[in-house]
Amino acid sequence: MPMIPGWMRRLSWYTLLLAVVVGGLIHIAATMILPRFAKASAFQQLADALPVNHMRILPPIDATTQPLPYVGPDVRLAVCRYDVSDGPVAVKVLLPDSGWMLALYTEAGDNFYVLPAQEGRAVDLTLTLTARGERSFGLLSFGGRVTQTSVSQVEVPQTKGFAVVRAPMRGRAFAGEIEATLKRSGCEVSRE
Amino acid sequence: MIVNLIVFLLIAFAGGLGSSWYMIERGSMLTTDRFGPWTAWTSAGRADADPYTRAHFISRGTLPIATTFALTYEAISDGEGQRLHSSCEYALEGTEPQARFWSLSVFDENGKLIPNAADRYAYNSATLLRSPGGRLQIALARSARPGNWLPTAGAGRFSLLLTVEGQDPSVNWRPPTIRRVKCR
Repeated sequence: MPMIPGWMRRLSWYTLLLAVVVGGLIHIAATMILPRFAKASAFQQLADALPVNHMRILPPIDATTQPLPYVGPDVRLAVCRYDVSDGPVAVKVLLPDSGWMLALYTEAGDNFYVLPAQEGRAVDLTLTLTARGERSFGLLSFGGRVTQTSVSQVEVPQTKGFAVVRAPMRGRAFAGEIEATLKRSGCEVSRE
Repeated sequence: MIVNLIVFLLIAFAGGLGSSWYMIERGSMLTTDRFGPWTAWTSAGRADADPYTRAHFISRGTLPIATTFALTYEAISDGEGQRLHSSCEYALEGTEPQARFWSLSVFDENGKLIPNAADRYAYNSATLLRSPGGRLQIALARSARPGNWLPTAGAGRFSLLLTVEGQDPSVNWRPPTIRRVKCR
């Protein structure tokens, strides 16, 4: 029979049980809290450079213009920093081809809505972003799923966030065309 | 008494914090799919993402694409488990994804693009030079290589991000292998 070291024989089962329970609580607390202190969030990094409720086309991405970590040069971005606390915000997008998409993020970085362009069918749409509970009629819950292009109102889970139009950069020959299309995107306080 | 206290502190604090760090930084089989050295967070960018996935991307300070739209694979080590490093040269080999669009980018360990004179940071399904056999082949090296080459000079540790949009689910595709060719 193997010898158990003396220090192990002095261990109490209650100590082990309590350690596992406390360790579990620390694990949960750390998972919730630690990321907030790790680095600046995407919102914090971009917010100062972006006017509220205006669509801004970011420059082509390279080592000197990279807007966020892990964002590569194969996309061109137009970003609106929305804030619906003073009323609905209208986001106008033109997504001409597959690979293009509109993504809505909360301030915390959750991607709660994605609208991809369809193969061979352009999407030309104005979405009205409203605060939670501001309008109850005609609203659907998206839960991060791909949606129908006919939906024109989105209830945002937080009042502040980003609307990002993402265009695939399929080579430099397309750069001018992509920029011209991105310029047709817009973001402003809704006048409905 | 002292033994009990030390064991308690080790399990409660080191275990609790360490396991949290590992689940956020590396992920587990509950939150990621692994293909050799490649890891994909299966609920990245989604509002219904689990707390570990949310913490992973919040701590990185980036805006992930929802996995309902695109899957992103990340590699920080080669096929033998050694950390990718700019002092070594690597060969990526495999088949292209059957997808609407894909791109492969190289970043330093902080997610920054690696400055280089060629102004080259990525390849995608439109810019890749195809070999006669149609296979995906990309060299990762400090100095220029024939064919598809991504510069890594000066990066130290680095990572690769392969983003695949509109992947054909009927095709059993796997990300390319990462073979270490040589080190300085």
